[in-house]
Amino acid sequence: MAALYGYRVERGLRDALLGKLIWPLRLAYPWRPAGAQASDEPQESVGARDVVDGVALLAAWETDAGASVRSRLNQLIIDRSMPAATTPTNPEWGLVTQVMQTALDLADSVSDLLMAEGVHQIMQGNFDRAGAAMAVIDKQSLPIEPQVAKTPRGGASYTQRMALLCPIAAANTWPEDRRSRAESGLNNWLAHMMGEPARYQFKARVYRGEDANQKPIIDPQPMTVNLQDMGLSALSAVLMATTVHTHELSGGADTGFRGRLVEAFTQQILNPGDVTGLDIQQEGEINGLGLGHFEALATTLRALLDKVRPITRKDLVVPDDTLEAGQNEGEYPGVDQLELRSRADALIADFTAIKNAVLASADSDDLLNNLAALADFIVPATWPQQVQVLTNPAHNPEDFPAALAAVTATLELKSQQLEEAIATELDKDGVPKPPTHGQLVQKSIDQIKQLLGKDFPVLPCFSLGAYAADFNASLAAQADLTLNNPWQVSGWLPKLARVHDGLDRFAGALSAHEALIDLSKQQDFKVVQYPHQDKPIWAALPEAWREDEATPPDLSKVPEELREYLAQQPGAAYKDINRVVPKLALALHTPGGLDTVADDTLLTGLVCDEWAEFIPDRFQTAGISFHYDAPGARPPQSILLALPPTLQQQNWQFEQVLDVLHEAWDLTKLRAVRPKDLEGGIGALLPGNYLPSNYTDKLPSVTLQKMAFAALAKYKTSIVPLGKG
Amino acid sequence: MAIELSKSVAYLANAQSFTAIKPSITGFTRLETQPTSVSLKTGLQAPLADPLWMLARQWQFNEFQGEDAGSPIKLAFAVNGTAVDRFRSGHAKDQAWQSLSAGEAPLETRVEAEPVWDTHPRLRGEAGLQLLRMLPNAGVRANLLASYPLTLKAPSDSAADQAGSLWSTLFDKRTIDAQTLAAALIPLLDGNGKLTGLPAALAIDAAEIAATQATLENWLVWLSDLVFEGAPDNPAWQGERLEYAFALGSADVVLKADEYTDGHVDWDDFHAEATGEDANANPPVTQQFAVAQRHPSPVRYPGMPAERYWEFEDGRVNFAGAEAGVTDLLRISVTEFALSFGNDWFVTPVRLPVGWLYKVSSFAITDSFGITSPIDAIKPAGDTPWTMYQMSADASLNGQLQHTMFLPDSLDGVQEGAVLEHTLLARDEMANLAWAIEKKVQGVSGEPLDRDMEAKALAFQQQIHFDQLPDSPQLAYRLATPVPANWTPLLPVRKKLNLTEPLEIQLERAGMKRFYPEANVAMLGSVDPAYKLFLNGLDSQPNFISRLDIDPNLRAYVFYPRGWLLRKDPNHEMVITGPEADRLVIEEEEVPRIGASVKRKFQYARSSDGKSWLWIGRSKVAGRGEASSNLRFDVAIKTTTAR
Repeated sequence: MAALYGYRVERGLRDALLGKLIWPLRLAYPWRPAGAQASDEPQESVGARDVVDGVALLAAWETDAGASVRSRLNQLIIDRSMPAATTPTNPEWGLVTQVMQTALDLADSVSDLLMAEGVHQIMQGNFDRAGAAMAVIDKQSLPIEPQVAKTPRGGASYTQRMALLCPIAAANTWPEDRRSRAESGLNNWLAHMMGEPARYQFKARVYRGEDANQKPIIDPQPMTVNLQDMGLSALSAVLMATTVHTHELSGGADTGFRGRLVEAFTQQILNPGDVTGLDIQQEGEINGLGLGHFEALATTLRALLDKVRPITRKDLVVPDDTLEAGQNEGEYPGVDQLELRSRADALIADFTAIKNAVLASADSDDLLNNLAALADFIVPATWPQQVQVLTNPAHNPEDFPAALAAVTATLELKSQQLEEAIATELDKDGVPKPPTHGQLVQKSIDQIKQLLGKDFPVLPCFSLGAYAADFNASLAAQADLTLNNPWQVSGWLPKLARVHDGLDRFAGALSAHEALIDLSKQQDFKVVQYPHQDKPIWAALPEAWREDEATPPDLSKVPEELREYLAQQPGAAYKDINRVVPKLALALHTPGGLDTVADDTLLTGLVCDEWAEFIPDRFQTAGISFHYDAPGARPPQSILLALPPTLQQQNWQFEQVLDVLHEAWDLTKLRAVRPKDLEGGIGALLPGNYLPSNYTDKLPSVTLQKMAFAALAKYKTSIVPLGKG
Repeated sequence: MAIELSKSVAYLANAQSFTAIKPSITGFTRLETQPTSVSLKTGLQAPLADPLWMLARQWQFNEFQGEDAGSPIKLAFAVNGTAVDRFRSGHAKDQAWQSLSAGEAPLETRVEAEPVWDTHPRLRGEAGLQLLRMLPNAGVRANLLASYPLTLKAPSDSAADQAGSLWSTLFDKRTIDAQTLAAALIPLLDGNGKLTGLPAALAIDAAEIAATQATLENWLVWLSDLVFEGAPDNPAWQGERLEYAFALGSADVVLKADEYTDGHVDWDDFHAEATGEDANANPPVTQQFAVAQRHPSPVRYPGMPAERYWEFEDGRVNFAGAEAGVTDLLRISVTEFALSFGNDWFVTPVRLPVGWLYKVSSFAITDSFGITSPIDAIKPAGDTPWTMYQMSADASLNGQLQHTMFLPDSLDGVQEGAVLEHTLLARDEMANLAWAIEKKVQGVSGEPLDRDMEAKALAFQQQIHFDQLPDSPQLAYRLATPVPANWTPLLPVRKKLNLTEPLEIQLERAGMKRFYPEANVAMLGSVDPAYKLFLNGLDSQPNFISRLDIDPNLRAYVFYPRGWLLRKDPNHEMVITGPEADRLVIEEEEVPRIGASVKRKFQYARSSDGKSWLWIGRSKVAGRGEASSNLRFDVAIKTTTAR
């Protein structure tokens, strides 16, 4: 704030053509920021400096209407031997006074605003924000953005979620490999998005030195490699094409896919001895797809995979405790744990088999060959140093035992990690409880990631169970939900993708697929909305919020003040947004279609994005507040039970009741007075309880003094002086 | 309550039996209640079951004080509303008023919207894909694709514009350019939105024409709903202030919003003035919202002191525990208000349609004794101009809008997309300049491009090694130190050329000149083969790097900004003279020392009729302080240099 007020004061002086006073003022009330550092490089922002400390100046000004500021300024001009004309004349000082008055008004309105903001935030229950508002003035902290002036807008909101469901059962023409077996659902979806592998032709020109004119010699026929022949599944292809790491064959940092491609070309080359270079083309065959297309499509798919999370049952339904009763599946409700475990077990068996082969290697070449088979689990770049030595053809054969030992240690460690038992809690007898469903699922996921890398996507398969009925009801009502337009979701995507990152990534992957491979089919998109209603309309469409034409507004359900206004409104009536708002709307990408699911149908997929969609109310609840000094009188908090003054009294006399009341009232007032407040021993006349004390035990006695001393002696260590407890 | 043992009072008990039996003296210990103690804690806990004591407390709290007043129990009031029914873009009065009726775009959207399709080829391609999906016939698809393909050339710097590089690979000639196709179709629409024919460029089988036309009509409806486009030269945008200006009209009142920058229209953005027009020109649309009976409720807030002694207060808030030093006046004032003046306030809700001006026309309270009293609005105490929730109004309105509240039909929950364009404006006191620093602009695909990274490729730096001989040069002369290519100078210019008038400064966007020797000119140090490529790279960006022809041995370039915030049309070469000159002058005070940060973003919101709106809008917030370019001229340096 000091610098901000300082800027305003300097600006005002400059506008009043009193720029000559800025420098003396800066010297008189300097702003000294901490931690400012000079640099020779261009900097987009440097800390505030060279400015008057506005807060100090305004404070000094307010003490005596500027007299001390003026004398300090004049003295400074003399001390620093500034030109005499710098000293402000009386008319000039009048202008300075105006500038300062404006700045004081500004500071005053800022503090009014911050005060209002503080009160507002307290009313809202946001004490941190209230504290921040007040700290702007009190502690010179950073200014806040006041919310007190903002008119809140009421409305209804629901969760909109975009997810994709992988076609689990669909077959594809891509080669199968270890990754596709471990995650077949996602592999199928990627295969759908990437299209037929045979459509990708990669071309390379082969360079064979230079001719006499120093022109490069290029083979007349470029070599071609088809993606189908590279033996990669869709999942491997996407992951490898977008994972950058060093590969010994392509040299430098490159993607794993390019390395494999170079290998594939190298195997085809005739007369490899005189090859000096290999130029892989970005383009493919005419009208076909080449490396550039493949990599661009894979990039959009990988961008999506990096952002999204696996879908669970909780994402497809609105959780309902009555349907979940008796099941405790924690974070992974409905997940088929056995299916996931079989995937992990298959991988572990695979790994163990190769590991045993590696450990039985006879010599260096044998070891390297066996290790190459392990490339999915341990990338060559992370082989132990002792093994890297062996890749040099001129290595010493005696290095082999050390390398084998290092490999053995690495692989055994990995095996141990895989077999690590799940840490479970102990029950009340100290016996470990059996692992929960959630822990078992998590263990299988961890095992797969330990083997195939932590970036490997693992999507558990789950079923909808008792929720299937509601889900099917929405699936069956597609025509209602989308108003008979099957392209509703695909038309909605480009709009929402502009403001939601996850959706943008999905829309990008879908556009890339459609531009390069094939257009989507009508059944590829579904809308599901909860709670399911009769004739539902997807809440993303404006029709969901409006009555049919000619439906009159229901005036009985609106507040009194609006009835006359609403009755005059032309056009279709609006529904009560709070009644029609759904809880959850789902847009689903279901390539190949999805018509109905059974209770135990396995589903898997990814959640692309979710957000709260907000529909503002047409009406706003405003408030009229008024000050009314309501009386402070309150009913008594005691009930007086009056007894007749004489035993055989026939009836009460009014005076008697009055007397009882007055007595009670007098006694009440006495309760507020302490005996020692009354001087001259009158205090003894105040009501009090008397406890008899007789040494002969003829009367029941309470010897308080004795008891008190005994108690004091007993609790000597914790004596609390009377009256301070 | 602490129990105090007071001095015993002894007297002779049972005097008759004194002689007969063993004498004894009975003493009495008097127990006295001490209603207060040093600490308030015990007193406040009130662990006592003495009903009279409770009454004493009530008495002390004035709860038995008879007052000549009743509690408010019933309200009758009426609120008069005047509809705000007109909208005008920009400052100028020559802009036409547009009606604000239901079903049209929200206020923020109308004010901010600017062209989208021109700037976003990826969106054009995605809109084209939607048409391809909707067309069932493969032949028609191929025909449309061949006639209206999207052309998307690869960017010259694919490292800075990665999205551009990606989408040019994916979309070039592989999807329909929705903008071109729509431009060809819209002239063929009749009044009912039906196509009267197909563009001549399309050769479609006669059997398919009807179906294709129907699909194209549906697609056009969808396309017009996809984004809300504003005029190319949005009249609401005040380029010299980098702010929006617009006005609303209600009967004979204009509500002007001259400095709207934050993306949220609210009552405090407006200043009311009289239209000065004939009163019959704009008849007011009025409505009374009357309530015959409603109960008021006391104003409550967390931590509010309980009115009664025997009542538990909100445990989460403890105003009494607020720590305030002697100088924390604001904190003390807020605490005092909260503790002492919070009661005696009542509130009643009233549901009102948005987009109207409201004034309470009558307000009557009936208290518990059946006495009805009308209440007026609170008058400002003294002469303080401080009011809340009331627009500032011009004197010409003669207090017409006093006690009037504007409930704007503003959007809430606007969802913002990634920043498409971001420019920082900052002063540089050392260089005596202001700078416009482009951080992001839209690349070839419409997705953002990183200008900082691009600037690195637009600079050429070379280390020159001098021989360590006695007569070899020790210093190199430099005309000017380098400044990144995304920094554009804003030069101070005189507003009026009449030198007798007071000095008024504006900041004019200039270009940054840079001079490079031709690649074939002999230079100090070894020749870097990348140098020639670098020079050619500069030539390939004519839209924002203009080449000047001044000397055969020297290449001179002027670097201009390349975003929509600082240029009229960055898709074409810079024009600096003539009627089409792209000149941008910014008022000096709009680049304060704290700087300014201007952004363009996609925005999305739903309006109360359920429609969704997508548009590109701009925002300006305070910047990050001053910049330091280290721009210096005529310097001699020792070891490093750049050409």
